[in-house]
Amino acid sequence: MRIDLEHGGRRPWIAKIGLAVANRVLGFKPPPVLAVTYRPDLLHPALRRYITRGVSAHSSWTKGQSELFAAFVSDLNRCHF
Amino acid sequence: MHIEQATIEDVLRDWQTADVSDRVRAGLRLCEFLTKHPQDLDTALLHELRSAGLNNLDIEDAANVAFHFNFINRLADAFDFPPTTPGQRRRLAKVLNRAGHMLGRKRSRPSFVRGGDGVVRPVELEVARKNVLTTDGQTEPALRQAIEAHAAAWFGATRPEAPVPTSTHAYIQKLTQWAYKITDDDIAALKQAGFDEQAIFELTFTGAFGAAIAGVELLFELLYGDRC
Repeated sequence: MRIDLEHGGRRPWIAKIGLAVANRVLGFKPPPVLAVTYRPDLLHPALRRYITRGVSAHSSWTKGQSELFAAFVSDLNRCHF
Repeated sequence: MHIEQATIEDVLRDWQTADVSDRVRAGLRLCEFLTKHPQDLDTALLHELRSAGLNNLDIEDAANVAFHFNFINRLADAFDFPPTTPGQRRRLAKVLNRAGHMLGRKRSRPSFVRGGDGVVRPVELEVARKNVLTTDGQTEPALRQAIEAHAAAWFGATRPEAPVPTSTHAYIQKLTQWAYKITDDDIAALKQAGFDEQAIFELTFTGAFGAAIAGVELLFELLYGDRC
């Protein structure tokens, strides 16, 4: 990665523990999680609440439909991550 | 409900002819507007979406996913997230879905608010935006405000635009319009101009936020502008 999202930033200890658990469960540290925990002061809890609602049981779209929209948007952005 | 990989591939090939319901195709149409040309959102599109069976909550939730990925795609391209294997993606999707179901909250009522600047936004994005633009960081709030305004205005959002400094202008332009073209050299140029990694993260986060929120603002003005 072009900046050290894993070791830099202002990640609090609780997020570091969460990442260690993620690494244990998934076998890797997911880059989006590294990015959103890098500077939690920028990512207000309200933003976290907003973006998790899109894939939550409270969405009016099914999980699969939300995944389809996500894949479609990423494709339009030519983002291959 | 799970969606078949073949359906995803079908949609990515041609979403207008793919074998999906009218309701899903309308959701895709909205995502396309929000991602590529939000400045063209208008009442005719809203009418079209409603004719396909979408209500305001469907529209809000499709916009939510579009916002999320218009934001995270830019971070992924700017920071060059390493590719993941299909197995890693499956495991990650499973965990994120579980987390989403546990952490996701109902939308606040009302779900929208007219901010101090007169723009209608989802309540959570109004709070989050204020935080991004004013919190203490490595960069001055004025710089972040100019960058967010520049990115949002590119997609047609209303902003009193302030000039973006030359040292960051090319990078923010790329991040906003073609984030997939960002290279190591772009990040090196920012470092050369005196920005450390945390400052680069702030600039990127703010620009990605501005580019992603523009469409949501234009949509919410259409949906709720007359109610607040």
